[in-house]
Amino acid sequence: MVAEKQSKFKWGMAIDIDKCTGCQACVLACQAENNIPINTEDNFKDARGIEWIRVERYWEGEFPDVKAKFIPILCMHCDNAPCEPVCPVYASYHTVEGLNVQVYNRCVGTRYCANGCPYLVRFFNYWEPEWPESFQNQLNPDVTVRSRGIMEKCTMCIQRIRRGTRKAKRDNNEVMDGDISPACVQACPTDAMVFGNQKDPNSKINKMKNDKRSYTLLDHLKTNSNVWYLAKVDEDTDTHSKEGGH
Amino acid sequence: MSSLDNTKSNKVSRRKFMGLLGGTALGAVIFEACGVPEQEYIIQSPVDMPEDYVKGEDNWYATTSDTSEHGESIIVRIMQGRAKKIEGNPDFPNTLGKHRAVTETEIQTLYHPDRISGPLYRKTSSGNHRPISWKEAELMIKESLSAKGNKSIITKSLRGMNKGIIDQFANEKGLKHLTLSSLHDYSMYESSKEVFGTKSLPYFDIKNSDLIISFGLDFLGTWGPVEYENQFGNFRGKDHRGYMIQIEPRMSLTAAAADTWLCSDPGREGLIALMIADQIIKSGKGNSANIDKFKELTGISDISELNNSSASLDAKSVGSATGIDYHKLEKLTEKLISHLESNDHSKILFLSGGATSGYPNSKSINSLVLGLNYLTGSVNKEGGIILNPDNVFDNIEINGETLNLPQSSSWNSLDYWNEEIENWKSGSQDLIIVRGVDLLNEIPGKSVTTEAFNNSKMSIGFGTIINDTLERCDLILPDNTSMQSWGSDIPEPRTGYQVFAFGQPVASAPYTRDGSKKLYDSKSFYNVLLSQMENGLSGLTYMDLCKEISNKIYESSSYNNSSIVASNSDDFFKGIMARGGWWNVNKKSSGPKNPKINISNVVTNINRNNNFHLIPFKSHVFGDGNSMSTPWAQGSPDPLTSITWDSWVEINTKTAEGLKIKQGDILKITSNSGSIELPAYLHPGVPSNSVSVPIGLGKQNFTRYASERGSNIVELIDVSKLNEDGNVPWNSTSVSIEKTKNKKKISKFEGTVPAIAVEPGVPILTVGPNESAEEGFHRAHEEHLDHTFGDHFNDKKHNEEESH
Amino acid sequence: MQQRRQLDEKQINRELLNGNLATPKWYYPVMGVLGVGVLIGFATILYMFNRGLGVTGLARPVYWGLFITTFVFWVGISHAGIMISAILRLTQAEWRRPVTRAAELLTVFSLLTALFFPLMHAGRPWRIAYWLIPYDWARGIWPNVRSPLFWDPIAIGTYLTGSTLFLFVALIPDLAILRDRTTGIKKTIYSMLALGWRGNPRQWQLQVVAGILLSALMLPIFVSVHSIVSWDFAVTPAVEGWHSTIFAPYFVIGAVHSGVSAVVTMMCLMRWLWKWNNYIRPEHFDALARLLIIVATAWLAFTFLELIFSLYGRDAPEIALRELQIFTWPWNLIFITFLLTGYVIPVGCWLFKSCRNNIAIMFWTSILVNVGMWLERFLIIVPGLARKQVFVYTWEGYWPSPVEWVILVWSFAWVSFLMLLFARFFPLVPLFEAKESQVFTTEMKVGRATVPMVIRE
Ligand code: SF4
Ligand code: SF4
Ligand code: SF4
Ligand code: SF4
Ligand code: SF4
Repeated sequence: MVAEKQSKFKWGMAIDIDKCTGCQACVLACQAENNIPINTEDNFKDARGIEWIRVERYWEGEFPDVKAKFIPILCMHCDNAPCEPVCPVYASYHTVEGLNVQVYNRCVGTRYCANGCPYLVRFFNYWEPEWPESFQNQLNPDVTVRSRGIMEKCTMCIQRIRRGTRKAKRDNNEVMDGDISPACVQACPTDAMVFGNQKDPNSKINKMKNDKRSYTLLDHLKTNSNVWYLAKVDEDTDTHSKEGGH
Repeated sequence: MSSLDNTKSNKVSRRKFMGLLGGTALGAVIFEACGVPEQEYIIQSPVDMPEDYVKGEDNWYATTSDTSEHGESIIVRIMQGRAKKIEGNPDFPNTLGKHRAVTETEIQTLYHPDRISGPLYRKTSSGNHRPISWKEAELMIKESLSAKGNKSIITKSLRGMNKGIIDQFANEKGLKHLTLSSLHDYSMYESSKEVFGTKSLPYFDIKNSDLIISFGLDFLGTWGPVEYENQFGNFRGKDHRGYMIQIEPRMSLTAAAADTWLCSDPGREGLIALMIADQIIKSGKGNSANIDKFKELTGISDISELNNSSASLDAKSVGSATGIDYHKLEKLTEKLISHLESNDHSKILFLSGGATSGYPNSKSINSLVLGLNYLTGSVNKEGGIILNPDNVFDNIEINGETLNLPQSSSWNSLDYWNEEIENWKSGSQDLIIVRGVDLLNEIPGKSVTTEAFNNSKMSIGFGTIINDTLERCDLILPDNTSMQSWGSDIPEPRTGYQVFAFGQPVASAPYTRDGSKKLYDSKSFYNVLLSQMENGLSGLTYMDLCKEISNKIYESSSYNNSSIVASNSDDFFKGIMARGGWWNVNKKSSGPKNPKINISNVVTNINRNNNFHLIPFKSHVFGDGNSMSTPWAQGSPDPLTSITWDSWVEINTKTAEGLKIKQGDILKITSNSGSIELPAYLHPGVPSNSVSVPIGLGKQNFTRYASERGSNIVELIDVSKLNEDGNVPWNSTSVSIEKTKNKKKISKFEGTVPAIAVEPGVPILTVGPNESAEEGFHRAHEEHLDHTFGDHFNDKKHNEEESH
Repeated sequence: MQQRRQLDEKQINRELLNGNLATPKWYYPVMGVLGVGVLIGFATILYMFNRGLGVTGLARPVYWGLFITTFVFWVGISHAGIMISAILRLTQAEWRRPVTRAAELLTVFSLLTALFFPLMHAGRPWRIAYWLIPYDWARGIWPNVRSPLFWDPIAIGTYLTGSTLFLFVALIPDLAILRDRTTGIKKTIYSMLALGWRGNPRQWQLQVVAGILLSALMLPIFVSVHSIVSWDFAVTPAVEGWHSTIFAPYFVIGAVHSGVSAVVTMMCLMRWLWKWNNYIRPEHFDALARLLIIVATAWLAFTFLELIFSLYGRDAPEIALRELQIFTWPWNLIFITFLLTGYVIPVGCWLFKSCRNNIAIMFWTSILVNVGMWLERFLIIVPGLARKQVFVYTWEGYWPSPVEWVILVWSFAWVSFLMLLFARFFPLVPLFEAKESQVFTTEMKVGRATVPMVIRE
């Protein structure tokens, strides 16, 4: 706790779902950045596809008054993470910078953390991930390639955070807002996603999390999520229908 | 020591390139933005080891994207010569640091395990291919080019220098240059250039617009540069959240993102446009100068003349004619009029194209809808249509040769192609060179085209991987990907000002693991063509030509106050390469020249003899299917259905229930042209009178990842009647569907339960205007309790009361 | 009420050692069949370790399935020992005597088998050995004591140790008898195991006291083992249907239900296989069935309470879960089967004395109970995961793969195999208990307590 208070950083993300078009750029960007195993046809059929960030699509209403709404869901890096206490080996643990990280080397594959996580953002390697030799040229050397039997999940692109903070240190600079950007945030064409340091009072993330449209998922579970969502806007919503009715 | 070998093997381009970067501070601009300090460039180069071979250090280099039709610039993360990650070029006007899902897959194309490893040749059309050397291959090309006869070169639609080189080449060697348009937005390109009197597409100022009414243009999906998606984010995010209405017969990503989606019966959209024109003029809220301009351009004296379909244009009639609830149309006009009233500069944007370009009369509809922008005064105004200036120069002189640089794409019509194929069939074709087009799968009538293609005496195909067309070529030549070659483009649509895009080799040639052998012995297509030429261009490489353009820009007046400042033309070129291109925000269009709105025939009836309209579409990730050879692309879920690795037919849930069709049932879809079988995907977003199928799949031979996946929709398209420009009216086919006995487990990310929220507000919360998240939750939760429990309890109470 | 026939000691010794001193005809064929099952099972397990957990039917979001179900099932069965040996002993239920050892044995073997399942479930057991056994003091990374998965092995380990000791202490007098009746190598081994038992009063006194102390020590385990197992689920607020505060007693009572039923099944088999009609008598079944009626009814009450508590919150995902669990095909079939087999049919039968005294009926009803109890665990574990929170988009189903089914069957073959192996070398019914019930019982003072005990053999 003390270390957390002393740390200069507390990372967080905000996602404006009013902007999200469901384009999947974040999903593929994450896959490319983080050496996520190739999702084969069978993986999808078996519900074993791995997407550290996934874009959920919900239907509302019936044709012609039908809406499709999208929400990207990644690890919430909960301050009070239900995935952490259940892990018998501390493979799921919290850093002083407010990130929930996964230590692949320790993970014994109980999948308890995945049950514990209410957001379903933890993915298990049921098979040994394989890449044809030529594809191995692409693997990001900053990110561990996981083996089978290992739980994996969004790391907030810890490797980019490290590079960013290291560079600032090397250049004797402060880490400025926007200097560091996880792959999904970087890719997001609509700028629906924003990443930043909550301890920087002027950061965009602080502005967004204090927006009146901001909410967190499954707030009632008190996981103290570090990913905020900005509600979708429907200008045609009748916000006053309740009044008078009662 | 393989890394050193690598270095040597691409010494020329790599070292040269490194040198270019080292000298310029401007070159560091982009890298600064991406995380590597500029002083690191100064350390490299004195030794025979470029700095990108320093272990653990990465660099980002700019080049152009292969998967984009719009000349988008990307940056590629390189470590020790290997490409690791692609991102949008943060500097470049039409990417702004953003990229699409599919752009990411270009790295897998670069390292594709099934890339063609070297030139292949076969003697007879039935024989197998055998590897030959580039020397032999180039000799063969030379021979077949020097022979007299009918010769054609087929490519994607090209602009700028690429088109210039091909034209020069075709001219010199006596070839015909053909481009394909089968499912392309040809009519939108043509009508927009006509309506706005420009040489290239205009630019849509989505960001600053307050109200967007789009007729079928899926600019958030597959239409336009990724920047439009970024603009949409700003359109939503600014102080006055913009309102968007999408009129389209299918729920595209743009329709899903719109505030209102009006699902019009196919072909009837023109009526809505007429209604809008009618209402604006009648309301008296429009600016009279604008109205006069509109009348002048359409060549009508009175609004009633607009409507040669002579249908009545009140909301009710239009509603019943288009299949849209007329209340929604009333709301649309209300919204429009109130916007016209409230702003003296209305910031209304009318868009057309995409789905609307798939009708026989698409050119007229597009023309009318785009023309509506004159009526609201949205042309060349902030928040409206911004015209693009003419290019700085239309051609350059090199060694006495004039290279044409057209700034817009064009295609040959299907009419034209049919004639061509007829010729091939007759056996009079001597040479076909094809690059980047899988024409057998893209032209309706695969068996006819295949037979005709096989009749050509010689066929030469360039490509990185084998597809159905390449497979049938006598000579198959491995091409470089854009990450390995020089490139240039004039982005289209441009961003309202002058822009050139440039590409360069950024990754070294992939080697085997032990470093002993190059994995793919490939050469750049344009360099191979240039090497065949005997005129003034002979001896030049693509890079030399890039440099010529660079010099030309440097000398032109447009150079002033542009994106790059350099003290000499060499530095200028380095700067261009570092930033991925050159642009000058001050070079803008002054206004339309000879605009014209041609609205001969804006309303049509699409026949639905076979019960269902067929609405083919480009899935956001799959695109036209040509970048679907990689496992990343195949494994990337289609946004609306989450389907991967396959194609499917979308059908309305209720309609399907009526026909006893379940998720995964294989349906036989039959049109007048043919029939295909696909698994059914049910969702509530499909109109009850249509079915939709993604295009681009169903290739027979397309690498281990993509062969025989899905079915090719082109087989179904009814081409008995072409549209106004002789192109494929791909949204005008009527099909019947029949349930077969077969079933299939659909490969998708989504789970097994229809994704309808268990309770409103979770996980997606929707708030009304000015409502806070907390208030929204409260409202949603009360609705939920009322809906799930309240009614029940109330009913009970009610009954009890009654029984007393 | 417990009628018994007087038997002399010789007859007791002869009859109860009939499986140890000679081999019954059916023994080798049965062991052969079980042995093949066991081998196939181990081969399947090795195949799974080699290929990876991809060969199971597990996926997102159902990360736990048949293995954990079966783990809970076998831990539940293991409660046979505690109930019979500890609780009934301390409450001096006289009819428990002939089955104490079999129950203890079942406990030991089912616990051993249960332990296999988490190891298989994790896919790479060697990693568990590496990280969960804190061997490296210098590294300073200890297992996470907040995780119920840390306490599972501790609780089960304690229970296993206690049960093994208990089994052994009770076995000593019988080992001595076997020592006296065998020759050669067997004699040597039995002598070593008999620890010099001479049957003198002091030895008897110590043996009995040890038994009682162990019984008392096992009592907290009675509460803890299945409570801790239940916490594997109950501490997981993310999973609807898991995070219930009544899980601990609910699981414990369920475990007793299945454990005691398993004892009944075993008693039937013992009667049939070794013809021990003199020792395992209808009155024993009658008493057990009466006990089971109470246990089962208490357990059923918990089942419904759990359901009602969860619905009380009117939480949408919770309602969706229950809808799946109770009304959606094929879960509705599983649910009905579970209710019928776990309660309605068995308890319905046990209400009638004629059924309680009918060995065949008792056999089949007790089997039904455990079918139901396995389904109960499946119904608790899987649907909750399949309907996780509000993320309908990711809701999925789960069905075990052939590999998992084979391993399930293996576990039964494995336990039976071990039981029969034991029965070949040691008496399944404690001779001294059988004799004790024939003779006078009295009480004596041990310290300040008065304990029931036997005077001598
Ligand atoms: S799967 Fe790995 S990270 Fe998760 S709880 Fe088990 S050991 Fe910990
Ligand atoms: S290297 Fe990583 S896994 Fe290994 S001990 Fe250090 S932190 Fe743990
Ligand atoms: S979202 Fe899930 S995985 Fe991430 S910290 Fe929270 S509980 Fe853990
Ligand atoms: S933050 Fe990084 S790891 Fe997490 S979802 Fe985004 S790209 Fe993936
Ligand atoms: S990249 Fe952005 S817009 Fe696209 S799906 Fe992800 S969050 Fe949504």
